[in-house]
Amino acid sequence: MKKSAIRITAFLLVLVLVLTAWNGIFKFKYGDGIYSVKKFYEQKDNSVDVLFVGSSHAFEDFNTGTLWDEYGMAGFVLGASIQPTWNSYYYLKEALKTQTPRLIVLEGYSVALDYEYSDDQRIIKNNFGLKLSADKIESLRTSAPLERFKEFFLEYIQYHTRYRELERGDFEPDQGDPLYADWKGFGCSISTESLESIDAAAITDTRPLFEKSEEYYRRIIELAQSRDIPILIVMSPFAGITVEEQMAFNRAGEIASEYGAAFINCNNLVSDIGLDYTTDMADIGHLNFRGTPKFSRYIGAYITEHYDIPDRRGDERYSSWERDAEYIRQKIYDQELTEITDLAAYADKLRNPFYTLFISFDGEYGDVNVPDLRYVLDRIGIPSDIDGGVLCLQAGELSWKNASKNDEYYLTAGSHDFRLRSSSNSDNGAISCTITADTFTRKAVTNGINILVYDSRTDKIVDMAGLDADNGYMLTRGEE
Amino acid sequence: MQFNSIDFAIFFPIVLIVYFVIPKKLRAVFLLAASYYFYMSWNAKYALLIAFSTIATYLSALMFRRFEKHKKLILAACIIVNLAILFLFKYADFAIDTLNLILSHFGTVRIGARLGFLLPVGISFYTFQALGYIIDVYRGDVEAERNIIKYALFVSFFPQLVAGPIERSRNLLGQIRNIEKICVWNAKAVTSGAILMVYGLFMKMVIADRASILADKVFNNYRIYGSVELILALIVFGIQIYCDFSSYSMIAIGAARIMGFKLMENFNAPYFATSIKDYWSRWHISLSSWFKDYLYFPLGGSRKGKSRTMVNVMIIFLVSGLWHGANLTYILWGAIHGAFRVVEDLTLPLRQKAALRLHVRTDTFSHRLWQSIFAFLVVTFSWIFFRSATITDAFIYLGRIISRPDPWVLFNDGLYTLGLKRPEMNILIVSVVILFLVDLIREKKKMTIDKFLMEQNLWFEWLVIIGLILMILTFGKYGPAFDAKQFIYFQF
Repeated sequence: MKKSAIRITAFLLVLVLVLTAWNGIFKFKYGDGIYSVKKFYEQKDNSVDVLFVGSSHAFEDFNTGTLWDEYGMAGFVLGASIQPTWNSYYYLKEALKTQTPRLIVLEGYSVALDYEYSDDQRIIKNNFGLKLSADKIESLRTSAPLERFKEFFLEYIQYHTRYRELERGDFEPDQGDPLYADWKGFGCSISTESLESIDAAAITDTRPLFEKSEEYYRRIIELAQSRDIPILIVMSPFAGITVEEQMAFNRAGEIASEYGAAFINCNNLVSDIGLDYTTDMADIGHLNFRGTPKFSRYIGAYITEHYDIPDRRGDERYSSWERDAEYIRQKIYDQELTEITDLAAYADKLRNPFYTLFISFDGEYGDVNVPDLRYVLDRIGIPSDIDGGVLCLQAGELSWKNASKNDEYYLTAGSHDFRLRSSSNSDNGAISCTITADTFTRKAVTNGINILVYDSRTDKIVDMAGLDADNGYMLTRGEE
Repeated sequence: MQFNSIDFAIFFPIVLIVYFVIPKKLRAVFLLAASYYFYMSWNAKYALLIAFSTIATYLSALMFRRFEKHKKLILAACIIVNLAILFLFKYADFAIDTLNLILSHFGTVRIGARLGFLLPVGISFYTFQALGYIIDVYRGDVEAERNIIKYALFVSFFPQLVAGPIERSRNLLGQIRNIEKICVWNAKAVTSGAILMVYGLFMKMVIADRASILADKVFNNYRIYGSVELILALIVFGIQIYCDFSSYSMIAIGAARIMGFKLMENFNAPYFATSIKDYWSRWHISLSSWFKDYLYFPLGGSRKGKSRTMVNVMIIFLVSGLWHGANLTYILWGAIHGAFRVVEDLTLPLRQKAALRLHVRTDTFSHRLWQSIFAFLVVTFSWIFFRSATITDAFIYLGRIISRPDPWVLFNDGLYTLGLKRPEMNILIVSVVILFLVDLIREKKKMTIDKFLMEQNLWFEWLVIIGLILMILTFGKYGPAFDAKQFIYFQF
């Protein structure tokens, strides 16, 4: 009997261990909801000074890198996609179990939502990251109709079919992405959409908020005040704002003033912030890598002026914020590189300590020592005695070049595998050069110089550019 | 409440824990309450039917002793009442439709409209179980049960209530009579039962419900498909119905075993059968043996000459077909099996003589393989009639198999457009290989999966069980994206 009991217990233990590991692989890892909560749990207790809560308007717009670089602000954005106020409330409640921030910033876009329940995907993104607790159960009951509670409470049934879509990231810590190593919840969109907006400041009317949205909006303010933590309500600026939304924001402002809570509707302050919707938006709702630094500088200045937020720069305990900011800086740098069209500027930008360049000389490209081109090649770091073959530069220094016509070089960096190869045709002696990245051969021009740029900080292949000999060594992008 | 539902995943452990800890005297009444709760989760009203059937057979059995002279009359009345209920709920609409169709040929008025009753889940199973009991008591094979609670539990025992195995009073009632003596915490029984349940869930959720996607798609649109797709769907349906039905029995046997009960086996690697006769000794054993004991033998069995035996066999198969459903397709399905079974018997001497003359070695693997393939082909062919909505559909389906050859779909991606994309198809293939191996073990070692695994080294036993659990959790068809499928045999 005793032996059997031990055997069954041991089996159950092994089963639980296997299922836990299995669950880790299969569970959702959405960056726009679940993963930010996971990373939040990893923060040291009482280390977050400014806690930002809200929907994508929060995690796409509050740039934790800028806030750190400019003000030394230890901020964390705990948000999720189209997060309704009730989920912001439960996120905040959960956050205050381990953190006592000096300021809570609520991005209040969701006060304008007029529905009882979100779609399934949003219910998942706004709940699945939370640890099991009475609050989580309450959050689920608030988020989903009662008859569907089981579906969302037993999370695994929602994601067991992910076997069809598993990726490398599902098997690696932090999804194998350096973004998540020290992530503070900021999304950083790099796309650009040129947009125009209505004059939101001109709309001063109000409209009633949807009952449930208002109830939890009030509860968020009350929760912060019950903990004696100041709360600042911010409406992030976005080009797609509608009259209805602006009226809801105006009403939200009135409610905030009922509680004596600070309220800023940045849609009324677009020019003060310095935003240009033709260049600074990623889409109609969110700022991009050009817009978020401007907005975050503005908000950061407001916060430091009105609240007692310490500058943590130089404090070893906050090194993860420095690394997060470094990542964001580098991500923006990468994006800027891909947008450059001027060859000399491009060459200058390539001199980055995190860059590895894989270069191949292809086709009948002619003389590379013409002065203008030579200048560019010098800037990149290509020695003047090299005028053909394949080579690799790391942080601006030559790390490898082919020693003979038939030579190859392999480099494994981060999650990528690279190969440079030169080979000569036995019939006519012509040399063929190839750059291969992750099993794909990459080439931007067939006649000229190909450059593949890899960033070791972001672990991304940033750019595939070519200097097209047939077009005066014009900078060319795309794949041949 | 289905075995592959969250409700059952909550219900069964609770029942188990309570059953393990309550005083022995309360076991029967508790399991009876649990069984009725289980049944009422489908349709509470229909619990009245099962209660009625229980009381009718219970009282009839007790009346045998008191009214010894009228035993036959009581038995007949009891059988008629039970079959009348079965007829009313299962066959009345079919009978009305058929009569209306016949009358319409003579231009006469219709006899009436359909009754439109919802078929009570498992009515054929518990009715047959109750009838088996009353006949056993009549024959004197078992004593009439005086304890109404225990008898009611015998009729409604939840693991096998809605889809069998159709238990015999000698077996299950005997155990229920001694329920107080059952050792409820027997580690071996718990392990064995749990393995059967896990494997049953694997068969249902990973194989049957995945196979059904392809089978349903082709059968529901068979007029746009050619031979290869139609044959594939037929084979896949054969796998689906085997896994679906056999899995229910396996889970039922496993659940009962954990509670200390031994239910009869219902399937024994049926696709390894070497003849139709052999097939029916392996497929739905509890029903075949029920018909044998309570219909075939009373009809005279094989004691009244060859031609009468053949007639009896045909009767059994036609009734068996009708038992499966109120539709001509099921009757024809039964007729096909009956006909092949009769032909098999009639041609046996001829085949033996031919084998001798042609020097065919009948003790070889190749001969047994041929026999198995032939039996499989007959069974698969008959599924056309079982699965089709009408006889006409079945014949058109058959006609298209012959007239619309499209072998090229084997060489392009045509087979992956039948509802299962490549990864899903691969999962199905791997799962069917596992099914084949388990049945092979059953065939060669005469061992069910639980016994086989429990004889192995611990690492292998655990590896297989955990592997099956992971397959169920990962590849099982469940969750919000899946329309939970009932076990096919619930409708019978």
